[in-house]
Amino acid sequence: MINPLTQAKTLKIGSKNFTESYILAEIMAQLAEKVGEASVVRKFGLGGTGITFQALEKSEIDLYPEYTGTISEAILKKPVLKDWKSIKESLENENLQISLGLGFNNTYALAMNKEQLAKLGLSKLSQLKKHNSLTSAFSHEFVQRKDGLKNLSLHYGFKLKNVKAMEHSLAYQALSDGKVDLVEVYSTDAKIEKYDLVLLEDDLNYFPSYLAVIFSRSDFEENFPLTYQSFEQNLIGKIDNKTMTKLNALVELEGYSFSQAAKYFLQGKLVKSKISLWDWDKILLRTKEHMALVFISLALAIIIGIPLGVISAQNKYLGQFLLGANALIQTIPSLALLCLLIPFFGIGPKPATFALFLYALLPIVRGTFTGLKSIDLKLKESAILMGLTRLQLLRFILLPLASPSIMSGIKTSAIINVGTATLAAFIGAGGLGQIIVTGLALNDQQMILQGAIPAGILAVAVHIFFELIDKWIVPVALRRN
Amino acid sequence: MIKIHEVSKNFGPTNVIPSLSLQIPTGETHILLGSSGCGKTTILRMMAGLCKPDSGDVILANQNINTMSDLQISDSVGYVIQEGGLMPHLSAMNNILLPIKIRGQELTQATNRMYEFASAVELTTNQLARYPHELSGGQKQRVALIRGLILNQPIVLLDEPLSALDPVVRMNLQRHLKKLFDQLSKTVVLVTHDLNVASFLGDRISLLDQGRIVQQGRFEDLVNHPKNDFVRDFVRAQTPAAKACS
Repeated sequence: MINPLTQAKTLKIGSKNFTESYILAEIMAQLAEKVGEASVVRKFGLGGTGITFQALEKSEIDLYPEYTGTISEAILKKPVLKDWKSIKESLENENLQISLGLGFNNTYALAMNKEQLAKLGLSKLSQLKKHNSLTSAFSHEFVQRKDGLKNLSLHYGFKLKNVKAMEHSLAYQALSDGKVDLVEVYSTDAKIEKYDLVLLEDDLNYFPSYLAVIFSRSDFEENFPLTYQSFEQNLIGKIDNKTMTKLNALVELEGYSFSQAAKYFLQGKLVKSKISLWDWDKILLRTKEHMALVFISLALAIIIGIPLGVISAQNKYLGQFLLGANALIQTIPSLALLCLLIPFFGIGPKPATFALFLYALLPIVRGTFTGLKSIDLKLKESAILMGLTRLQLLRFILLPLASPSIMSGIKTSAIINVGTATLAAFIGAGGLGQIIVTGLALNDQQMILQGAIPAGILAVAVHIFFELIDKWIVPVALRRN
Repeated sequence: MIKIHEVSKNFGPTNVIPSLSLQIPTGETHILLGSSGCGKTTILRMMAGLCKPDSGDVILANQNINTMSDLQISDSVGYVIQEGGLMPHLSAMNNILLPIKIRGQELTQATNRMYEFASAVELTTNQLARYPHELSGGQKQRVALIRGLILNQPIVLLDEPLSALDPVVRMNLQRHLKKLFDQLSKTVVLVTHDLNVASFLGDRISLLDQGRIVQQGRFEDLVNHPKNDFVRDFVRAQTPAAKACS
């Protein structure tokens, strides 16, 4: 069955950063591996619809699991398209395609704690307009999307007063802690059971259908005919709501890995071994990736930032322009910046490194600028009077005198980069963020710590490292505090 | 020989020097004397090319300073800046030898020269190894002086080299300076507001007021034949003896 000529092909499978997407993508990956038509590359845990879809468009991934409702609302931006057929037709113009439904509908629903629901005598969404003071926590996506909170409120005529936008997996915790009353859930969510939640009935039929489909470019069938065939046979219509909820629960409640859950679906076997608590090999690998992200971007920022700082200090107008432009970059939220860079760099370490480089620039440029500007004019004159050329002046006088300020800029950048690099996981760049993102998707505190603790240690290590570098770079007489 | 021909200078709307001419023959120690704001430092800075006159010419050894590069100027003029201008990140010794090093000149000879000057102004080897922040005001002034002399340029310009020193140190350094200037037979221009310094070191003195030379001559001329009331008052204000006599 394996053709050695076609084996050179790679099939890049993506997923978003929540459990169900991971599991479905892993099922596809295992199926594709079994077919053996191409070697499979997993690019899982991408940060949100925007990033994942861009990755598909730019051929950074070949396919990923998506939902029809998400495609019509967030990707095609045509919320009027309700049925599978019209969505498929609309995608054909964009050279994209969706498979038939996998068999379940994971739509939105609003959920509350069982006890509180009983206390308030609530059961339907239409009753909610009498309880506008309930505290609610919704995902950023749900708050933003037109078919999310906004139109839902209009449809049912309620107006919630205390709405918090937070990471989806944290909302459950908040609900369980009694911090909020109302959250939005997906109907196949394993946590519905875990937190003993009851879904409010969508009695006025607001929520559209969110049929799970395989989302790919139009040439998927042509390029990977055997894999396509296998997906048709083994996935289409094969995963119903109950099965999906069970798979979600295996991972989120019983501690099985995505891979084990996928294997369970495909082979009906549940391998006993659970995820080891601290997977040191993985942590080491992610730490290395993390350090590569931090140090490569920092090195670039130093190489570019110091000259920019020198130019800024010498030319008033250009200087203000450069500092302003740098400050502007800082105001772009990191996820947005990563998203903006995908058209140029695709996904993976490249755009992440570039984004970190941009963030690292300002402290270094400003540190250099401030250091040079604060040098006594008398010293510059004194140097010119000794016959130093401009280059010698810079090399022997100005840069050494500015070095404490430059170094402090570099240190700030390095520490910020260690933190920001965790976000690189959202565009498939790996690093310790990968562990944190997966942990967040699973609401697994242990796993979050496996990413967060090494990141914290790395930040401290970076600080100590640069304190030592300081002793080497900054002239001894300038090191008095 | 330093020749200043009808130079003028404005800082914004303020006319600091209306029109000034001055000739200082080779080998003379000339004092620019006056109270602060009289334009004396501006004139000194013009001689070092640090400040361009709005009009008029500055000529060093028959060459117009406008046609000279920074390096050429620094090859003919040694400048001891007010309060020293020592590089805080370099030791005293490295401050002194910096002009030699950046020119790629031979260090042994310059180092010997440095030690000669150092012993002449009573600086120890130990002190030369220190950083500027580890030296007293007077020690810094002396290091700056040696740095100004190390290249052995024919012209030495000094801006208030004895200010902010206590009287005993000042007296000593004053004596060292006199000895060095006599030995090295350089053209020296020294800016000060202090009549004692002027009388002790100067061959000739130009007393300045509002950018003009009010009187030029030897110290005795200023004391015995003041040109006008300004000169008389300036001399009296700083000479207890003169005051007592009047």
